Amino acid sequence: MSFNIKAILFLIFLLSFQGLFFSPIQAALPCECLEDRILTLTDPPMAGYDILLLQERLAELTYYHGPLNGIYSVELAKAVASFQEENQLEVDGEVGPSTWAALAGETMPAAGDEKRKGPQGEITIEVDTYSRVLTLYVDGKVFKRYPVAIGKPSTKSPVGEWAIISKSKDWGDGFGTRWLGLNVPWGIYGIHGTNKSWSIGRAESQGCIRMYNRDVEELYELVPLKTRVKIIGQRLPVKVNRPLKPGQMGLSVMQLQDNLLKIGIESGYRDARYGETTEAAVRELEAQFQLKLDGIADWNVLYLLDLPG
Amino acid sequence: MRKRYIVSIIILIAFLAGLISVLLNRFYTLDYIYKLIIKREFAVNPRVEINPEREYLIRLWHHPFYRTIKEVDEREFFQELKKDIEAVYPNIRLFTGEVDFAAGEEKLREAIREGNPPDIYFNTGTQVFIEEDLQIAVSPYLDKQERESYYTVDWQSFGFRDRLWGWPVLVCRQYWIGGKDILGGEYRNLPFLEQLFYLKEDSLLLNYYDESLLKQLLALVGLEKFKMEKGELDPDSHKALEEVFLFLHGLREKGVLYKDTKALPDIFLKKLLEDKSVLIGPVNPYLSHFITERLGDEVEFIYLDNLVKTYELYIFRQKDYKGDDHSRAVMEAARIFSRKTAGILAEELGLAKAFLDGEGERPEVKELPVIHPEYKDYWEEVVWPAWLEFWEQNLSPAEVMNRF
Repeated sequence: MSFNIKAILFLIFLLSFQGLFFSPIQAALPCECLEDRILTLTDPPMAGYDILLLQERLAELTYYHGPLNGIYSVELAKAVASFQEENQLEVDGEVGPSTWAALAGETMPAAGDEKRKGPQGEITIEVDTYSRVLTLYVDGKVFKRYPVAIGKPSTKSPVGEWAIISKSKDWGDGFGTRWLGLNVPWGIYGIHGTNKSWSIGRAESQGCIRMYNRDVEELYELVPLKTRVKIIGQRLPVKVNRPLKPGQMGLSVMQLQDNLLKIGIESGYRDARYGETTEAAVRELEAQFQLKLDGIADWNVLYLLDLPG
Repeated sequence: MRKRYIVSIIILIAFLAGLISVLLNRFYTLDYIYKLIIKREFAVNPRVEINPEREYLIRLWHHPFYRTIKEVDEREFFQELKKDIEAVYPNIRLFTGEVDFAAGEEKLREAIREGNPPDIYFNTGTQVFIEEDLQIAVSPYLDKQERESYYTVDWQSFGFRDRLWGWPVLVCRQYWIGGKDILGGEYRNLPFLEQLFYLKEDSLLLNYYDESLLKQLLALVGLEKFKMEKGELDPDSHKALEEVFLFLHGLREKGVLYKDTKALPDIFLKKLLEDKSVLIGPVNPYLSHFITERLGDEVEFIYLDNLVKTYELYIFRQKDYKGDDHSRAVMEAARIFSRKTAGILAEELGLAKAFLDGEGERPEVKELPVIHPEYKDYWEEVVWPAWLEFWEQNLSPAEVMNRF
């Protein structure tokens, strides 16, 4: 018994230090929009975030009236069965791709009724995580807007200025029909489709930007590789307690870029990469304060930018 | 009879010569006539007045001097300047442009190479700029009475080629910053350099990458002008450099200087913010503002005797010359900036105006030595690298003096 208490105390002790040892980069979770599993009634019951989504969706459609607890209960299985019956699906109480698709089909809006020509000019993308809208710009003017799902509060979408570095039509079922990969240095994030289309408009993803499949298919055709993607949203400030050098990447670098911009020094794209433009911005600060002109964010630079914690 | 006739002719000639010179002086300066007729080179006639019928468009470049100091940008200040200029000269229109602290000088040089520099370059950075071809000296535009009001200029022996090349605007007294009472009261009456020997061990952190540190020390050991003779340092400059290195070595021996000299330029500010019992220098107005915002009364300014640095306006013409009246208009705009509007900046940047209003007492000040263009190469290629080696490789004074 006393051993157990000691073990628990030790575990609490370890957990309390976890925050100290995890760097901001490690703490940020990569997007894990995994492929859908088959949800069914088991003993003990299945649990998870996907089940919570299912409960919310069925509650919205008035099939389910139980607790929203992420547990696949008998009550939830009955609601699934009712939904399947009314939608001419195989009534087995299991949720697989066809049931997910049917659940999605209820709210799938038209992405754009009018046929539009492909844009001519410089294309950029902006994702506003407040309004949960992706806007496609051509030469700085709005070309089209799409509703999106963004990261959950615990796994926020990566706020910053990125670029599309990969395109794929076969990234896996959980990612819908198209994938546009972003160059976020601390994880795998992208803009992709979804089978859980009712999640569009919500903060539901692991950080990726989800779109309706038909929207992402359209976007896929419009945007080339290297298209700039700006994600606007709230990001918790990061304290920087080590000098930063050109070539480094991560949230600390992005905070450096943010704070340079705050005092009016442009450091190029806020892409968490300590590249030439960030180096030039640091040199500008060094020149103003007559510091060593080396483009390295040493302690003097960090303090001038109020970065150390 | 004949003798009296000759005397009369001499008097008449002298009278006529005097009359001609008075008349000429009204419209031309001697310097202008000399350059134009004898030397046969480009000259600007400072006697030409502004043409009230002509509209003058003047371009001014400046650094983002409000950055880190004020929430607003510099436009507000320049609106005031425009108002002040237009109140006197409604036909002068001022256009301003911002250049970086880091890249500003190169941008200016590029504009000069293209023959199209701005009319005014407001230098709030470090470089003293003299570009003989397109830069216009300001001294011919200042009369004797006005000269006396610019108290930082030593009018007995001023400027490169005996001309003043920058219009003085703001004056920054030179100081370092340390924790409260970093230098005990009993030593405060000693000359600045002597006071430093009474500092605690490891408590002096000097940013030797700031060129003004070397200039400050050279001035403090008595050097007025950095000069060379026949490709070598002149005796005064040589002696001053030697004294500076001996002095720093003395501080090093006494243990006052922070020992990890390689790390010094990267950490001196951190040390002051974390451990207020140190003295750091040099400190420019931007750094001073940052430190006092953070530490307030916990720090004090240690003045470097009566040393000052002046921020100036450099006046340029374009290759496609716009006329002596345009140059005059530019000078008048600079005059208004310096005499009037600079007061706003002086207050906001914690500096003093270079122009003394009224009959105030002329402060006794000493300017930091200026490196004139003909010595610039030697300074950059020999003096500066030797200075850095002294710090980074811990050279002795004898070793470093061998470099010269």
